[in-house]
Amino acid sequence: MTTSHNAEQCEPNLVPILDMVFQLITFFMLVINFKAVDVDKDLVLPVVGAANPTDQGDQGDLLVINIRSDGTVQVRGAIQPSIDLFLRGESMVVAALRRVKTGDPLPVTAILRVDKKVAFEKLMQVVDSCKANRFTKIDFVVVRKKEE
Amino acid sequence: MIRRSRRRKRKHAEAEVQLNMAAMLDMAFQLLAFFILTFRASPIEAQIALRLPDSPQATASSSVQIDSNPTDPMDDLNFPLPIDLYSKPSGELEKIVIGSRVMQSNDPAETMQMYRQEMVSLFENPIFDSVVIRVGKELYYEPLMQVVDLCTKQKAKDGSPMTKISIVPLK
Repeated sequence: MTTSHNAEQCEPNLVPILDMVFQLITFFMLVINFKAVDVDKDLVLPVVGAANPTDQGDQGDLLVINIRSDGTVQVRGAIQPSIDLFLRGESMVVAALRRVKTGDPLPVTAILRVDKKVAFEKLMQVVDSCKANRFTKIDFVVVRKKEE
Repeated sequence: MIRRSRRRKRKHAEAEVQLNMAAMLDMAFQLLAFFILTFRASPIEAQIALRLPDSPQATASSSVQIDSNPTDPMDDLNFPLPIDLYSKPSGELEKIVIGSRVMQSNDPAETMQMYRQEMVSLFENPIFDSVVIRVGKELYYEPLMQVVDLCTKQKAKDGSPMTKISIVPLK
């Protein structure tokens, strides 16, 4: 009797815990941001109240331009020493790929993520470069504050 | 011989296939740990849409317009409200001038509060159909966006939301 009691092994049922862990993994995989390379996480965005929530429904292609507080411009994870040169190249590529006529605006929305301490002059330099290179649709990214 | 083979077959049929759950759970926990450690909740971001004039001749250089209706030309600013934003050399907001009204305080937050009150009284009976914001070149981006934000909350002369907002450098 004693021998048979000792021989019995108590095994926990691991299936439910595995189930739960897979559900958690699925959740984290779904919320992971694969566009993180476009976004400079060090930027401190300004906080305002009335901006529309980000809706990328009809914006076409997006070009995310990050402007840091020291004035450096980062696009696609790389610092761009000359944003004008970069946008010129980008404009030529987009125009060729999308067959955009000379002088027509490009079907690309430039998303400007600007640090709250960037001077207006620097901002306008980038905006002017966008304008000169036919990126006429521009969105400013801000952090939404809850309405009181 | 025959007896032995039958016994073997019976033994084989009784054996159960058991999955090693512990190893799978191990791997699943490793994946879970990776996703938890790399997870970074991002703040709720929003966008303020901006439309630039198509032709550079349409407006003065270095000007932009926040406009939800891309068919309206930039020159349609019939009766604009001029708002001038002056900056300190450090980039902070120094004062806001709306027409002859000057809003100035040592604390930029207080200046912004005065501006809010002024805007509320100005737009009680809306007579403007557009806003022109002239900005000091050293001003930080944040106060500019706060001013723009408050403008977008106002109503134009025809009762529609204020969308025609021009931003030009202060000379």
